[in-house]
Amino acid sequence: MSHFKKFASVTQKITLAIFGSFLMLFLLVHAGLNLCLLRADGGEWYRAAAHFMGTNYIVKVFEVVLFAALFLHVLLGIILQWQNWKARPIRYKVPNKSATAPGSKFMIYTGLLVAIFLVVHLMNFYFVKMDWVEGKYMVEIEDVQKADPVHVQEHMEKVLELFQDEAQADNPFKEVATGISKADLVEAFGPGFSAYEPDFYTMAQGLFNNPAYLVLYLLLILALGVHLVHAFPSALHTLGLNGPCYDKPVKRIGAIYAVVVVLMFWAVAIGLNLLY
Amino acid sequence: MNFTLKIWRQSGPKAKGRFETYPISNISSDCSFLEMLDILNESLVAEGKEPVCFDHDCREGICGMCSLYINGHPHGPDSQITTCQLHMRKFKDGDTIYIEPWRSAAFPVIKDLTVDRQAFDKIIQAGGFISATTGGVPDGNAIPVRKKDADISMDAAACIGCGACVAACKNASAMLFVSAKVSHLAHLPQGKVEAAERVKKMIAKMDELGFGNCTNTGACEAECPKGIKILHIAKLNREFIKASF
Repeated sequence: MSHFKKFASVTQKITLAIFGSFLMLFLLVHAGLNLCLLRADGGEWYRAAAHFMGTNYIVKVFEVVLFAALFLHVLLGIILQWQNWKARPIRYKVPNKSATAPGSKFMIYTGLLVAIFLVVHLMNFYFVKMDWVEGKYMVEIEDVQKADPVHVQEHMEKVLELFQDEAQADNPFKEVATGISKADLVEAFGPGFSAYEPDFYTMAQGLFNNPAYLVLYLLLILALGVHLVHAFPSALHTLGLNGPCYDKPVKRIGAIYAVVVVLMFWAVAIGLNLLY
Repeated sequence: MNFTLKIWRQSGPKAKGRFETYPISNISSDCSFLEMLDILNESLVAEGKEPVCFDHDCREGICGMCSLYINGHPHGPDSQITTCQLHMRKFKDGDTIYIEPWRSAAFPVIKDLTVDRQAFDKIIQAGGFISATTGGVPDGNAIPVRKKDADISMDAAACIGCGACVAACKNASAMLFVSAKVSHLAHLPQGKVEAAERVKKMIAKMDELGFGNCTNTGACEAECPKGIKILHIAKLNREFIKASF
């Protein structure tokens, strides 16, 4: 804590704003990729996008940058808030009634809600990728040869069951077996098999079809939206990128950005619940 | 008009304060807020009680000496005025009015509603000036100033240093005050010479004195008796970034 106090308040704020801006760009990318979930292709596009995001090396570098940015944004946010609370040791009896920018008074609280959301979200998806939490998996048909042949031979019935495509009579086998549980994976391909990927499509489908999860998701995304309404103009303001001509457009763009991001995430969540 | 006043009473900087209730009646609607407090104090003195201590000076809205956090607003519920310019007609008959001192770690209470605002003087001493050698008075038109810059500079210079921005801010931040002083000088050729040093020193002093950090909520702008815009804070940030290179 004391080390951060050596930096000027404005330096801390500018750093917070830079990392926040990066996170705002990331949200657009994430929400955009999520829209693939709405395509009626059984998750083909979404799985392709998830595969790209999980394997591309440039994306992997950005993944590290993203987690660093998130960590520092949260850390600086807490440090600044702690300093702010210390700056008024005795509170007012009558709460302040001054007109303020929308959402601006609750940034630490909406930030906390977003943090809670992120814990749930990472446990549901990212931790599965890291193999810390069990999820659903998928295996491509050509990757079956990477499994122990003796084991596959012995459990051919299970393997065939996983690749069974009941919808198509002429070609009864799917190219990708999806929604496989960890137990089935080990049973069919043996304990040493590693040519599988997390099946985010099936996991997302399962989660959004749970009404309690859907409602929680929609509410926490709304909290993110409230955070973003102030985040956008505030970040630009802190970076000094504001002036008499830009003030109103910047606030308007910030509001539009927040609404668009919330609607993109909501559309996917509600769409997946209703359609698939 | 009749009011119930709930006033913060604190006998000294270290003493524990509390709210005291004072009913006050027969107040003219044309009475100013400070005159209303004068009337209260006269009656307190007549009763042999300690009068309420509050800051005031010019009572014309230009000196920045009066303060008071009234019902959740620094300088009361009216906009772009100081407390001395606030009139009792802004309240409803029978209202309960809470009067609190400015609350900030950097503005300690001296007594009752009076706070020590020397922190602002210290920030000014850290860099809110231009250095000039003595000598003959230079010609007023010798250094041309763009009209737009002169206007912005004058708007910033309107700051009277009352501290309403600190009082209104949820973080007790002094950024509007510091930005007004920095922006005022940074827009003028005379101020540009020491601009980088000034902004760094004034921000360092502001941090040292225990003011909070700006979160761009705009409460300061809403309460500033001189209508100073938070766009000056963007200018301050810009000046600070420039000063870092």
